Amino acid sequence: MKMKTPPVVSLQEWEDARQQLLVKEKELTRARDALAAERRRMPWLAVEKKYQFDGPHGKASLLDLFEGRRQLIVYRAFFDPGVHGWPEHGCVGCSLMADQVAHVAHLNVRDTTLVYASRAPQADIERLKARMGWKMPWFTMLDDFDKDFGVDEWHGTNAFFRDGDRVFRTYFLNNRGDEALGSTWSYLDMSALGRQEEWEDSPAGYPQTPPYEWWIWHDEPPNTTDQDRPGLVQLRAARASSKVGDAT
Amino acid sequence: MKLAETELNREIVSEGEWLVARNDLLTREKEFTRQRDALSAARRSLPMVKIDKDYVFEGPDGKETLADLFDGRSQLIVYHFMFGPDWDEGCKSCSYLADHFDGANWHLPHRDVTFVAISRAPLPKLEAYKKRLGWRFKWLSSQGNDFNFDYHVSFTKEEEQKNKVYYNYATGEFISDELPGLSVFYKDENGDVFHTYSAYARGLDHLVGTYNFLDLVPKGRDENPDSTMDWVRRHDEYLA
Repeated sequence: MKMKTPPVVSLQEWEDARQQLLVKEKELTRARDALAAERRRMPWLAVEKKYQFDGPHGKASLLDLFEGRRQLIVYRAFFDPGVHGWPEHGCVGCSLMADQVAHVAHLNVRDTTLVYASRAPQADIERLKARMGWKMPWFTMLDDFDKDFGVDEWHGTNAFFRDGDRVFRTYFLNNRGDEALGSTWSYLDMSALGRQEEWEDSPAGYPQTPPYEWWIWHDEPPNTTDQDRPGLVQLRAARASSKVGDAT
Repeated sequence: MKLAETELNREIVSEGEWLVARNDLLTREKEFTRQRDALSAARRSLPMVKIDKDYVFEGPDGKETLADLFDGRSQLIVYHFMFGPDWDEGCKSCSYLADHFDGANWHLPHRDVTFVAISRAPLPKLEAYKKRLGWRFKWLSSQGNDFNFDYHVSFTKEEEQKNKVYYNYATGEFISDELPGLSVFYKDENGDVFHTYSAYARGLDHLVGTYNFLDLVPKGRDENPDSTMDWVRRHDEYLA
């Protein structure tokens, strides 16, 4: 089926259509600002339990993960024994997330530390970071941290605040909420074809494939066949073990 | 800026109460995600404008036309990086955005998208600055062509004198001879090139992963409303 692209118009007509869309875009930007404002008013939950992690400099407590700053964000990445890709790779979606973490200097200067946490031992984490070119701090969970913070089965992002030695859980995000943290989706949302995923409302005939399946590890050979795409292989494995839910 | 102690008097609640508050917010977050999906769908329905002008850029692979920049793909995203011909360094806020480009760009080619940055500064300046900040994305110079002016991210001396420029789809006062933006192009099977989309100003906000992380923490972006990015430095210029 030939792709039916939108009409080709004069510059003036295009500007008119773009102006109309801009009004809606501005509304969405304000709606996002309002949501972030609500987040800043969420009540806090005191974290009383002591947790221990293994890090590049040995054992570390949850308090140590703050590195002296007052805000901490922990992304739970699935790089664990038994997860598809082990031990060469982490979960393909978590790897996609890791690729999109920019230089952490910008977060640090806003009093915020970002760390990744997995079940893999430090030696494996160090090897993976070096090969994939990732620079963020990455810790090994040693206890019930993942279970207690809702990330034992699926990826998710927890935010904590430190007041002296007291730690509070302020926020938790998972499923499609994590999408906002990766700009790959934001770029694709601005492209003519979109994410090219089946669920999208696109003009007739646009190329569309199932979500998740197109995901890759960024170091995989460019000639990987569709059948071997890590996203698809991992999804198949997850479906086979019936741990997959509707993450959309 | 230190958060005043009074602002720290947050309501501390039990796990059950916290979950109620979190789920309440989640309902609105999900509504927002669906609104975002609908907006993206509207974007895909925007009409397109055929490009008849022959733009030639200077890049690491020599002279290339706009059509060449697609590099075999059907979609091209151009980030209009503020770096004027006489500037010694690229804009610091664009550099903040650019710290996020390479990660996304591992994956964009796999969805038929080629990503490049374009500035008016001569190529040797772009290459030296790119090396300094450790970036990989392709960066080309539009020096000598109208590209930056046609896409409303560079402004002439005449516009400066009249103090009147067209930016982000509105006429306003002159701010700087360069301003940030992003443009999207599509190439059809006949090789014709079309302009499908451009965004400016806060329309670029959602490309900054650092902001998206900061939107999750108690202090938020914690910015001066009159000068939002005044805390931003090039990543090699923050004091440790």
